[in-house]
Amino acid sequence: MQAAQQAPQIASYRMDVRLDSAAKTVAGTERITYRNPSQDRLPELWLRLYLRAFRDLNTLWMKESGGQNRGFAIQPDELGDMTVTKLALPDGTDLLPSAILTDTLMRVPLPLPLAPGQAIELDVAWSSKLPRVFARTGYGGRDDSFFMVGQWYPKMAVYDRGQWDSEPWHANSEFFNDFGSYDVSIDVPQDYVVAGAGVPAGERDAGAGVKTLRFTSENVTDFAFAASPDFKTRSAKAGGVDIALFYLPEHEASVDEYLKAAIGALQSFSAWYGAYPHPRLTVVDVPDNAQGAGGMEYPTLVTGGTAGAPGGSGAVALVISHEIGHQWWPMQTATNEGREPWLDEGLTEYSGIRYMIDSNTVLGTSAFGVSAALLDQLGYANAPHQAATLPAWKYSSNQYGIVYSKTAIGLWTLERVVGTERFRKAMAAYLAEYRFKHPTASDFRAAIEHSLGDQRWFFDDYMNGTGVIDYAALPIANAANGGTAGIVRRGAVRAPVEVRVTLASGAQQTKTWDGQAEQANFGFPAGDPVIRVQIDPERKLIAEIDVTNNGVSASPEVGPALTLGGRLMFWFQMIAQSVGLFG
Amino acid sequence: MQGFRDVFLQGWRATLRHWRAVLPLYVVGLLLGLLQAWPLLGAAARGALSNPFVGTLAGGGIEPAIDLFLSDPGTISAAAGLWALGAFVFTLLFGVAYNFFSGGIVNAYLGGSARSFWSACRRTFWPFTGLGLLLVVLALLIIVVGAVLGEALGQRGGLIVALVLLQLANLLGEYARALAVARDRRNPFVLLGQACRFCARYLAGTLALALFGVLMQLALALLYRALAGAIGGSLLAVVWQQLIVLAWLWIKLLRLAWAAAYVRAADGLDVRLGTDVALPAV
Repeated sequence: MQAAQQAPQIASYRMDVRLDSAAKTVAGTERITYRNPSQDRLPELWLRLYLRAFRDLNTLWMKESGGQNRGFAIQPDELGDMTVTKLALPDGTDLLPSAILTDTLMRVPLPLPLAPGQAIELDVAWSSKLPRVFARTGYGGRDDSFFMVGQWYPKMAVYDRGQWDSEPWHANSEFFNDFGSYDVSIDVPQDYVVAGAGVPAGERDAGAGVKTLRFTSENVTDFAFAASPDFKTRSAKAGGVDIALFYLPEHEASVDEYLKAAIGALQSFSAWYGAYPHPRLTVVDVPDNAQGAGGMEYPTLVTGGTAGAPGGSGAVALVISHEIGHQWWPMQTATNEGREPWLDEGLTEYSGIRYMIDSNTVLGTSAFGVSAALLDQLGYANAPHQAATLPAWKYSSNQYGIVYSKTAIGLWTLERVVGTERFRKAMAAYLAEYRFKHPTASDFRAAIEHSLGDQRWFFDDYMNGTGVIDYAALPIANAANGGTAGIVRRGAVRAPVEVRVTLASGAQQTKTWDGQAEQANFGFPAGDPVIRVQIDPERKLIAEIDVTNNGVSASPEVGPALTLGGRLMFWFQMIAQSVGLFG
Repeated sequence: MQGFRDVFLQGWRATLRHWRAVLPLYVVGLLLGLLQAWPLLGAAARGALSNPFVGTLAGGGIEPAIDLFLSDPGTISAAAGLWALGAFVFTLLFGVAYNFFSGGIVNAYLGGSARSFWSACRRTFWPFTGLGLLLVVLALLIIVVGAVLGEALGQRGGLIVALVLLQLANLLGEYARALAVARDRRNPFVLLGQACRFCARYLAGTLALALFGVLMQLALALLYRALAGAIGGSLLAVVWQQLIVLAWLWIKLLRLAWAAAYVRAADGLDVRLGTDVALPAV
């Protein structure tokens, strides 16, 4: 299942760090090897110090979020921070005095510009103070002994298309990273179990009740780990990939759901898009009181959580399949998650719900479950006139969900319009062309349209636009010289649509309309009147905002109306007889 | 055991012999149900009956309901809210009807003449209305207890405890009604107290009959679910649904008949049916 392709080694890290479980800090040293990927000479480097976003309540991140993330609030007396104490070249040249620190970024002038293709090494020492679990990182769980360590080390920013990505970390935004390799040694208390990204590469006793665990990870853009003395482990295989689940004892009932979703999603996405390119995937279960650490993705490591839902309810599968989708978008196509978040969250949300639907996994029980797509349908219906392709910081926290839901519903619609096989081949071609690169929205569109042809309705009208898909059937007109079936486009999105017309003889004809004009009329010869018109009979346009106006009959449908009335009556009678007969 | 079997069989016989007792409540429910079908009139007024989506909705299922909601969330939410409000008010009215007719029904099950049906209804209406209010208060308390227990036992544990307690409250109401008619008592508090004592004294028998009634309703629900898909959205579905409604109501009245038979046996009132009931050993 592993891809032979190698990522360009642009930013690689060798780290020796220590998790202090009492002080809630991670401190240590790292050697960064950075290779200039451009044709430009670089007089300076930029580093990202993400945890500085949580150092007080006045940072850009905190002002934008109001100290809230996914419904959880940061604790003002349990903030996070990152302090760099050393930044030097291997020859000892100290770069720290000339470094300029603003918000979550450190600008580092170099003694000599870095030539195209030239590599430089930086020796860094730092200490990170972890917050109580907030926005994907921190400590919590039983006696605060659980740690999710993400965005935790000084990290190279990305130089791409002639400029540094110097956008500070925004509240809605995630990350933009270069590929490289990691070799990380972590000191933890002896009784701790560590779930690290990459693959385990040894363990040794470091004395004084401490052990050192080493992890290596190749062709990746980041490294994270979780640690807890309570972790139990289970393993499984998905093709040639090892799956390691680290879960908490109180979530034993969800273990099967975790593993089934991980295996299923890995195999499905590998088949649809291209192979998962790593030997191992680590899945981390988070405590109920640390859910801010759940539902997050890092290369080769994802986090879930039960959120209080019982095992087998589909909640774990929904989260895990989504996070595993991220192992393709953006872990293999390192897009700028802040500037173009729909390229990772949107594509991933689509992948996750398609896995849920293809695997018949519903939310709830098998008898009383609803489709996982329902959440996205509701999310999209809540704000259908919002463009889905804006930078993350252009949305408020409440609006940001549209990036997920509108894109997912739209891609599913595109898939149904062009056919599942063609669509998945197009997605696979996009991945093949841009694996281990930094594609943009333009690259994605070019790749998709190269495979599927002109899809302006999707990219211009739907994704970038504020219009909706909505077609309506017009009243049937039967005259002596023939019948007419008409449909009108009420939304601004000009999606192609099928129209099925039923004639009095029972014959049916299906017409396809490109949706370019505002209205279309289909004529039929005299002698066989039109009795029914149904727009989009196969329900390909999942994103259509109103399907209740998609059909019309020549005469009132009395039988169905009476049946519907009977159903309303029945449900009232059952409610009344269950409640009104109490006692 | 012989006595329990006699009570069990007498309940069945009474509901079958007085099968017409189910009609007043059924007709009230049917009329209120017809009024609750008002959204269809609204749709007809807007000319929506020539829209095939009506047929899709009539077929049932969650997906068409979601499509309807997504088509115009504001309007559909408002309509659904109005429907729920109507259902609430009409359910209260149906409860009033139950308080009125249940006295006559129990009287018939205890061997009262057809002529005494309406006088029994009138005689017990206000005591049963008071009893109903007491039971509603009790039900609300049980819901609060369930919520509190949910914190300690988890949501599922709290829900199970609340459902069991609600069934017990329901059971007390049934025996209170039977005792009211059999002993001609009117004070709701006294009736509830007597029902508690009666059910505690004959705990195994009363619980067994209640459980049997619940299982019958559960079986009915499963039967409806199993056949609903096969029947689909045709007019036959309306007939099928009304049969389910009738059967559900009949099971409730069977529980009342069991309560009446049990009370009659306990009070030695078994005269008219000529059955010498020995009380079950519990």
